[in-house]
Amino acid sequence: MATILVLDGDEATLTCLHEVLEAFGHTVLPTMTQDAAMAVAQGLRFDVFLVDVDLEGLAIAPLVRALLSSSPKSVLVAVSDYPKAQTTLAAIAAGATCLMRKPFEIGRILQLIDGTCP
Amino acid sequence: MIGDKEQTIAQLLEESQAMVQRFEGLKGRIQVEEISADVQKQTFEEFEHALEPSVDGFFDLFVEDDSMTAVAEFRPPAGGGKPMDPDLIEAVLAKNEVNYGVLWEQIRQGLTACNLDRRFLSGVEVARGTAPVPFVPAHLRLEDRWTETKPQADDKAVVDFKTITPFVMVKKGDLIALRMPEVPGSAGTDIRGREVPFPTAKVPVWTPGPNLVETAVGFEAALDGRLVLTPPTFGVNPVLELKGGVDYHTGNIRFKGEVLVLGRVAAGFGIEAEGGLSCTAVLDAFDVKVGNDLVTPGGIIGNGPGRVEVGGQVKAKFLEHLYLLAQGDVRAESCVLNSVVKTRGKLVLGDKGILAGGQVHALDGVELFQIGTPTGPQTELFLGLDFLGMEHILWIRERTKELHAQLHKVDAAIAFGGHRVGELQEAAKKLRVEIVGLTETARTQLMNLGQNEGATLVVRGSVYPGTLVEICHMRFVVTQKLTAVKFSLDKRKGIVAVTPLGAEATTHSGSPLKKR
Repeated sequence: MATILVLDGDEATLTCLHEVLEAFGHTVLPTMTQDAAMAVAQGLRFDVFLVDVDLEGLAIAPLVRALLSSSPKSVLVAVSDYPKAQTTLAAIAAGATCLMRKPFEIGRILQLIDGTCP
Repeated sequence: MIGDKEQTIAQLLEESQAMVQRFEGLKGRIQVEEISADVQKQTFEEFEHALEPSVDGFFDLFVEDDSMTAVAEFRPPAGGGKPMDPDLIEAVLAKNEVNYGVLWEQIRQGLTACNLDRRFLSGVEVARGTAPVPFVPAHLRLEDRWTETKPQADDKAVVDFKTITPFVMVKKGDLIALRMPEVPGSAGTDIRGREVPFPTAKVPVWTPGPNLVETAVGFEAALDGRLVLTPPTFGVNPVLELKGGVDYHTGNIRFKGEVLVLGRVAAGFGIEAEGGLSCTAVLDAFDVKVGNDLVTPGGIIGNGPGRVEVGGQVKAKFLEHLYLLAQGDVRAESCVLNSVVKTRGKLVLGDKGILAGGQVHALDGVELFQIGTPTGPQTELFLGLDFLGMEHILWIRERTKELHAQLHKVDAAIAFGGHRVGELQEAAKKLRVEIVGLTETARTQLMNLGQNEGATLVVRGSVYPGTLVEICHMRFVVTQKLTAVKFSLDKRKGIVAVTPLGAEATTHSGSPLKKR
């Protein structure tokens, strides 16, 4: 079972993701701010990070680097509706593993956890 | 006469003397307070007597409309009125033609309380007819354990998905329905002595369906399977249990009954079940066709160009990238993402359910927590129209366009047709006939199109800008975030009205409304 950190500004999205992924036996830690995500990431090992890169006021590159360095074997998914936006490109450049369409794609997340998603 | 006078005078003198003697004896011993109390008592008695008119005891009778009971009012005598006469009661009963089931003991008690205790009594039942015993026809009664009610969604509450059990499974030999014998009825008698005919009791009518065995007491399951109740028929459907899920080991599944998949349905595999389909894990739906309900505690993820067609209801944790056509309600606990959901019932999402991206066509409306996300994909909802009817009409429209284009080409070719002009003219004629026929069919379909003008969209949380809501062809585009609102059709104004949940006031916050 995987441990997943989710950073998203929308409470309902967080609740929904939490509900769905926990139903599959995974542990989900929802956060709503960059500071909260960084703080949580320091103390735990994560398998997957789901980061809403459209979130206002994110210092995206330092955040991606910090998260990946806290759990080196993890995958980081940049969640965005704007694949060509500066923040999305910055996230990819900083090491994000893949890009996902908003609000999220359950099938792909499950495949990522299973290691079957490229 | 003289003797009488003498006697009266003698009596008066005697009384006067006794009175004088009594007061003489009391003189000097009577306290002022005693005199005062005596005066007070006397004054009150005189006062009451003066206020209270002299009324005789009275008995009033009220016969119920069905003449099965009569109640009475016992009014005590007042002032110097006469007590109630039992003959009066008999007279009132006779006047009202009450001659059967008279409760004489009740009347006697009422009379005593009224005359002796001077109590006012009302609503005393004094006559009661004999009720008829209804006739119960012979019928089949389903065992209670099979018909315990399951929780349903309503306007105020959300569905507790955890309590929904997908199937009612029965074992071979389980008693499904009991044969209840006929119970003869008997006539009653009303308080006026008239016969009251017996009614026939309303009992549920069940008729046995497939896979049942008739026994002395009723009907048993002929095999292990799922109990199917489709009023008025009950029966047992065989169940195909796939313990390892559906993948290359099983291939595509086609079964004339219920299919129970214990495991995951791998991507790309099709399932066709004439009964219901229950899946314990994620259903990677490629091509799924289900005659009855589709239930999964996991989710349903659409795969490629396939689609899911369901003859009954759909219950799942989530739906994603799915093209779903359902005859019944669709209930998703967590979310519906980037899917096309078409239902002839309602779409209901759970407590915090999100709908994001895609399209929803729901004849009876939608209930959910949130639509879209702050920057999420656009979501479109079309409510109040039967998607099947609309699909037929749109299909006809497309075919008509194709025929028109062909006719245009044929007409143009006639001028250069040479020896084949006749054939071209014949082809053009046939195309015209076909176009007229299709147009007429489309018109008929439109007239008969299933429509529910009462369909509403209830959003308990937020609906984000960009969301399109269309109810019976009237459009509303959300241009600012709205919270806790209900969208409904205001037929009089010809608009989609947006009302705060729990309030009557109407507000509008969207683009200009236009007819599609």
